[in-house]
Amino acid sequence: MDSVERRRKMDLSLILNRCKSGDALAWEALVRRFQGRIYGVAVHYVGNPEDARDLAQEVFVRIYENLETCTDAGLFLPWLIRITRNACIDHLRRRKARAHGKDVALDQIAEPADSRDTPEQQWTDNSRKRLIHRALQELTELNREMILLKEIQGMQLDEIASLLKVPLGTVKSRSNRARIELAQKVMALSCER
Amino acid sequence: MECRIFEERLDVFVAGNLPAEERRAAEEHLGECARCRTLLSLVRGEEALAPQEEEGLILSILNTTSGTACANATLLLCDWIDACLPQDDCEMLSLHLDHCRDCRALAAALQELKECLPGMAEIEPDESFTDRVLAATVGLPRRAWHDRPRPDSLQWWRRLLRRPRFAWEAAYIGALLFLPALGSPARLPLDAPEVTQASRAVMRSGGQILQETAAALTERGKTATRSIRDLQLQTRTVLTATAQSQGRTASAVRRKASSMLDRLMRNLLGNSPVKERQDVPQPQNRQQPPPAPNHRPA
Repeated sequence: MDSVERRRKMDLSLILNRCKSGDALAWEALVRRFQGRIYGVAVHYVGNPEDARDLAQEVFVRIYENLETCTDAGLFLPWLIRITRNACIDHLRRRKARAHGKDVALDQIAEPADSRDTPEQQWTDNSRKRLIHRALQELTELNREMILLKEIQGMQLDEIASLLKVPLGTVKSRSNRARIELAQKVMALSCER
Repeated sequence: MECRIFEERLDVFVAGNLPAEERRAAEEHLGECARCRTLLSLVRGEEALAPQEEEGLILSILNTTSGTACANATLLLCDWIDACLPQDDCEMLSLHLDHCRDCRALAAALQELKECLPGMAEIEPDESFTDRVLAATVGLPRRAWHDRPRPDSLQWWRRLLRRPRFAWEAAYIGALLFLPALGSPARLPLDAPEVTQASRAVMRSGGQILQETAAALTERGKTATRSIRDLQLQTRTVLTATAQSQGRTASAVRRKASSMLDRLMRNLLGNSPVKERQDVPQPQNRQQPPPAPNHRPA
């Protein structure tokens, strides 16, 4: 069992309880479990690996300080994404460049290598991800955020509605429109190649 | 028989209800026209269209009726990929996808995205990231739920002022306060109660001035050229005509009346200076306004 699977199999509520009681080992486990998620959200929002790294660290500090306020392990991930999103939006406002993030150089970002995949499979997957990432950058900010929250991070529609403060029906229709637009962009980019 | 007439009577011909004479003409036309023979065999179901011709026929029918169904199919594609589409819609959409290459490609792209996107949720940072986070959180105090910082009032006001829409909200509230305090900038109609009331006040004060002036002149031994009643009537006529012709507000009518009274008094006294009253406000603007069209100086 590799470290990624081991991290995922640990009981989150147990980790949270031990973190609250001041267990440094549990806190390290929590950081290792969610660092990829937080860093991934930050990269998609700010589009810059260095800024995303600093933001992810800032988010973990906030989580550490406010860990007592999270009482339900089931709501931990939406809470995490909410904090990350708020930090990213604050950062983008400060940078005054929220409209267009820079292209992310995926080569610079270390991705987890799955030992089960062959090198050819990994290369195909990475090239496909690059294509999708390019298509994502061509979406509007609203559609990109919808894809990030629902399709990539797997948040529920009601969680997204609560996060973005929009009605549930609006989230569903926006999400479907964003998916269609992304699929059309991917098709167009595939044809260009 | 022409092809057009044959096409119009085709249903009746197939049903066998065509009159004998027309039937004979139709059969003669069928012997000469291969196109109408094909049409008749298609209608009778004796011959099927080639697949390409059938697609073309369906497309032409759709184009002349409802248009293609691709837009509706696109709306349902996401639910179809997520397997949450009702059975009826699912069957109709599958039928459409069997015949529409573009929608089929879009569905394939959506399916691929559904498989790929969740894999992009996590991007692992470099190895030193965890150590940096752990170092940054060592010894940090942790807040309990009841120790959450509450924003003080000063911060609240600062945040309020920084909001982009604050200027609009302030302008709206200012307008709400301004209107009741200073009144509407729109002109009042002539028959508005405010105008009538102001006109009556002007009449009363004008009449009073004239009475007192005449009394003062009589005491000095001079005789007024006209009676006070005539002057009051003329004043009322002039004011009404002016207000009607210019449509002024209450304050404008009051100013106008004051200047008119002043002018009347000058004419009455032969341009001699009028004794100023302390209890009656004097008009600020001494410049004489142009007389009304129907105004005759006294």
